[in-house]
Amino acid sequence: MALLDIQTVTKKFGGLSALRNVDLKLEKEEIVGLIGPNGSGKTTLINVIAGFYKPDTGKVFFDGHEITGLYPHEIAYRGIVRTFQLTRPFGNLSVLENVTIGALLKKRTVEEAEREALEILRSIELYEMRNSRSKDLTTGNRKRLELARALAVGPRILLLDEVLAGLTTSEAQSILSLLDKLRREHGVSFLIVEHIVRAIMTISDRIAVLDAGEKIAEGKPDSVAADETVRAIYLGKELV
Amino acid sequence: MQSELILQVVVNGFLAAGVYMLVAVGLNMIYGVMRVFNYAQGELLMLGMYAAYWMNVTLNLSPYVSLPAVVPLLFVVGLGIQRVIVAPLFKHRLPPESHVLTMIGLIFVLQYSAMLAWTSDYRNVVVPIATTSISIPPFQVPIGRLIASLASVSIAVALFFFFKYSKMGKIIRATCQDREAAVYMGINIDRVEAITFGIGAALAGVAAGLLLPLYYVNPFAGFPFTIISFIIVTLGGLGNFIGAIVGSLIIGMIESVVGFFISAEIASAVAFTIFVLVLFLKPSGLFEE
Amino acid sequence: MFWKIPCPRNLLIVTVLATVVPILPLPSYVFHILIMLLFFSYLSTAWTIVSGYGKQISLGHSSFVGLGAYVPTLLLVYFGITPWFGAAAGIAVSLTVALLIGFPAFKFGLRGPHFSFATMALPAILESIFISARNVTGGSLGISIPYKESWVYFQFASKIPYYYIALLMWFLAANLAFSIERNWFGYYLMAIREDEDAAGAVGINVTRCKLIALLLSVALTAWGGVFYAQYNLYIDPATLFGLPLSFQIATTSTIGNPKRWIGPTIGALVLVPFSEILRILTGATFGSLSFLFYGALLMIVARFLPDGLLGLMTKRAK
Repeated sequence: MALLDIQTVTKKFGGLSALRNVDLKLEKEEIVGLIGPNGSGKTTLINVIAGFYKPDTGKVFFDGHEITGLYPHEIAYRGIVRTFQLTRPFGNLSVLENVTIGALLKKRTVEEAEREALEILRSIELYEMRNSRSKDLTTGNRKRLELARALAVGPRILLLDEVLAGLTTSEAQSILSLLDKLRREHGVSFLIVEHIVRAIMTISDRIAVLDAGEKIAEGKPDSVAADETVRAIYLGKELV
Repeated sequence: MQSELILQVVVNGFLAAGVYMLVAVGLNMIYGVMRVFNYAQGELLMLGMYAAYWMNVTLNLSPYVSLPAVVPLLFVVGLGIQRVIVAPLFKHRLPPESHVLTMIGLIFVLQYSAMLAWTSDYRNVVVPIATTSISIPPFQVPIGRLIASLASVSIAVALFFFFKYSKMGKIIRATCQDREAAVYMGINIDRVEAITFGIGAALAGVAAGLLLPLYYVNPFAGFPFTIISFIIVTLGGLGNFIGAIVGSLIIGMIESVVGFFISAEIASAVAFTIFVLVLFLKPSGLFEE
Repeated sequence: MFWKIPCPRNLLIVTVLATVVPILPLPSYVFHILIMLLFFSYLSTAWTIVSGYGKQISLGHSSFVGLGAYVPTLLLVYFGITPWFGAAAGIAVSLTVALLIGFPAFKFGLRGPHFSFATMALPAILESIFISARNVTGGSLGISIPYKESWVYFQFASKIPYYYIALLMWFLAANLAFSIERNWFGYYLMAIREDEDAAGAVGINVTRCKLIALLLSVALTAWGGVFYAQYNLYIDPATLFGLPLSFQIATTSTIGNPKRWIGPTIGALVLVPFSEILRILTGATFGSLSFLFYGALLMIVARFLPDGLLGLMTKRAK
């Protein structure tokens, strides 16, 4: 049974269909990459899974239980945590405070949460910046903070929305190896929306492609890269 | 007999609406363009009323006659407030809480400065023609209210054409709808904001001249009008011109009907309750813009 | 759950010092000023829990002061129930009203100025109701609390017992605020203040947190109303349900610093002695000119001092 099961989800905004009958499964400890042109519905799908939108039709199942229509905080509590495409740190709070707040969901006291937060900051190489005000961070560090805070919540599934955008190659590399480590050592599964297709191809077990709200391809990275329809929507750009 | 009574009450409702309309429309304009709630709108009305009062006492001018002086005066005051107090809030990107608190502070400052200057004594101007009623059978219509309502409606109509056809009017509307786009189009937002606030204040000035024959003025006389205007504007939809007019009618009716059949206090309680209900159920107001 | 020991050292020191003050042979009006100072610090601290920490700026808190004052008083006048018990009813009524307004407000996502608006309506509605029901409540003339001069009825002949009660109230409220600042609830409120959606994404039940803050704040505020009625021995709708009182509470906290436990107290330190002395010197009408000072200070703080006067003091210290 799939860990995350998205069944025929449709989401309309007024006359616009942002998602049309999208099916997607995520297995335990799997990394699925979600790609597609701008406006294809990738972030909308994340919003639906995470409870920020209620789908018009379709259901979402997590570990066999239906989670469609639950509130975002309930979904986070169950273990599905998302990041935002345009990072949303708690701006006036410090890096440490941001991550501590994430950790407070599962830890009883502030001291315990802070300890957990410091550990995460060390592993994500944000420890030196722990007392900086989060709205003053560079984009790269903001992305890392976003990830750190999501990690602190103790997720089983991480929904990452363009977490690599704005990072240097080496920064991106270190994030990718961190993700891999999380998968291997903590059994976290990932659904990663990404624009930087090259990066996503290397790390994903499977790739799904959305275009205009529909899933037009799915499979192993190599076969997706070779797919004609996929190549067409990227207008001949090199995928790999 | 009964139906005449009811009709009279309805007419009173219209007249009450006419009175509130001007203040509400001014408030609406300011919100529409600047996304700022001018909590001090009623205080502007109060200042206008004092201006008309003093012109009456020193120059023996009827409030209707002194309008051409009071209105520009209030326009300038509005400009001043916008430039000195409101604009810096945006320029320094202060959070919305600061806007609310600044305007509340302004209320206190205006009310208590007025008290310092003119004491809290109630003052009024007797304009004989305003307090007599003419008989348009089967109604009794107090002339003062009739003048106020007719003037309000005329100004509302004039404003409607102003917004629809004049250059400044269109600029203001554009800024209301999409501030950023307006900036990109080269519209001088600072000027538009200042002028809008000025017009909003000027409308309060007109209301002041029309209302002084009908109401006593003291430093705190403006505040109830602010409250009513906010209720009207919320009902009709923030920034929605027609909405403000319809909202005024609704509130005027409630005040008149409930006030007559039950009591004035319950009328305000009803108005407030409707206000809260609208806020919960349709915060954008009964009409959308 | 919320109490933490030890409490801030400064608070303890000040409280201990304050306990000793009544030994000095001070005139009665000095105690009045001190009591008013403690009272407004208390009220503003209660306000800041929901409006400063939680950023749900309530401009209607006077409703709960009024309810806390009127309900026990009516119970006393009509049924002879001592305010010590009547207070429970007053608090219960206040909490119910707060829930009635707060729950839909938070659920429907009323935020910012819209929320503040809605809160302004409540005292106005209550004022209308209490004035209309003049047969029961004495209308706009208010009610004089029957003089019993017994601690059983929460009345004392001298100001000193009131002083100690007010001191205890302030101490507990400030301590509560301090604890909140340092525990999970305070952190969650900070997150909500910054970004409600992001807060939801990390598992924070925003509506529930806002409600908890509101209920805490309201319960404390209602008790403040009980105290006021028993101290002043006269209550009327205009003073208690009026918007000026709501504005006063909000202003006091904002001027000090609405985000720190000591902020409201500092605001009260600046505003209350000034206005009380002004009132004593110039009489009731001009005494309220202190509001002019309030307003100007509020505008200055809103524009230049986002962290209130406390922020100014701490910046100077650095």
